[in-house]
Amino acid sequence: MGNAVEAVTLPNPTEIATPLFIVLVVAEMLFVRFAGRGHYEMRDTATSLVMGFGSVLSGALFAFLFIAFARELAPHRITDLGWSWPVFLAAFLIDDLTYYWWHRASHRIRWLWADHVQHHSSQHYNLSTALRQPLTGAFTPGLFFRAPMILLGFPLPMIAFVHGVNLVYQFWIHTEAIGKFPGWFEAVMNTPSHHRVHHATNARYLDSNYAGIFIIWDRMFGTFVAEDAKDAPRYGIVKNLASYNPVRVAFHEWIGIVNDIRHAPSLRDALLYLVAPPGWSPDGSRETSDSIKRRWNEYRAARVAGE
Amino acid sequence: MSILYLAGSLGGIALLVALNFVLFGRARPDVGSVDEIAKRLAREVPGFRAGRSIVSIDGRAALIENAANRTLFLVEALGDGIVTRQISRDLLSSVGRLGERLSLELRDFTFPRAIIQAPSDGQAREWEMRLKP
Repeated sequence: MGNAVEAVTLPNPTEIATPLFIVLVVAEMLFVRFAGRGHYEMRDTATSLVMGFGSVLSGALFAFLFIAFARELAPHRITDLGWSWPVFLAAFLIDDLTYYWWHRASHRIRWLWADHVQHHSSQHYNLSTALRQPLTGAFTPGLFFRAPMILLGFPLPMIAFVHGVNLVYQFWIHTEAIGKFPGWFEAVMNTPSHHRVHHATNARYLDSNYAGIFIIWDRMFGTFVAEDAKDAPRYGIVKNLASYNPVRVAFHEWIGIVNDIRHAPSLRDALLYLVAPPGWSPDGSRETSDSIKRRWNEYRAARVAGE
Repeated sequence: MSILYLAGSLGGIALLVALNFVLFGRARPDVGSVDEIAKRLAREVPGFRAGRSIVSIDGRAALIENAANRTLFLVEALGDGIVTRQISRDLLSSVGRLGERLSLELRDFTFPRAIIQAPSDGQAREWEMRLKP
């Protein structure tokens, strides 16, 4: 490998993996049909697949934003790490750490959630859900999470490639067909079991397991929750959508933000509607994941005290 | 991104949806019995206990009271699942009734309307009065 930053052309991992995605979705459908483990619903599947397609189009349409952002930052990088296997490995790890923080922020900041919620909007959890990708990432500040890797001097094609590999890895963990792996694997890697917890709306599971490839980040930063066989995950979002229309799925939270900001009692509240956690409201009348957890904990504590 | 890639993707989507239909059919929306709704709500709402309720005769929607605090929940079937909303003054835009048909308009972008076909005119009227502020 040479040292020229732009010299190496790498393939797009997602494009390469697309035929495999289709084969695996078919295999999972057959497994669910004949083994009875998991669920598929036709219109839910159609919505997920159409959104996956729309996300690819939207990504292509707004790719210039990443390119412009990266070109703007590149001259300010502190060094040029060049191309070597150790750098590749470091890029892979740092990208996964960056993904963890972007993902965590996407659940805690409504502006980012407006985009990410689209991925969580299905009440099903199968491989088609993995393809239910957001259409509106270009309208969020998510791009800024890429800045550290650019400033550290990783080549731009390498950043794009390892990020693509990260997304491809996450495809197969969207399934109920696989139970749990041996302990060492569950300890280090993100698995279907860990990610089922992430997609669940059960109070105890909310805002947990943000990992992309390595679950170690959740263990390190205190957001890991193990799947409990006695509390089967219920998938979707706290206020599930009553529509399969991809346009409604894509824009419902954005519409909510605009409406809230229009009626905000002050400028501060308008800003908080954008950057506070989803469900925040000035008078606290709505529910956030924190308030839901608190309510359930109080209820459980009262039940235990009453026994 | 080539035209072939786009066309192939759309063809793939159509085939996968068709296969989904062949293997699983199309789910008939049904909220289930009051007991089933109550069990589901008890998993979502701490301390939920079913109180008075009405299930649309087509099985597509229901209203159910939480006996623990008299709050009211609207339930609608979606595919093979259900969607629930706690009825509040902020959410409910208007309530209308035409004979046994009760219609609720909501301020909710993905859940703008719910129709409940009550078993009788009297029950529809009773719930209309209850819902109107």
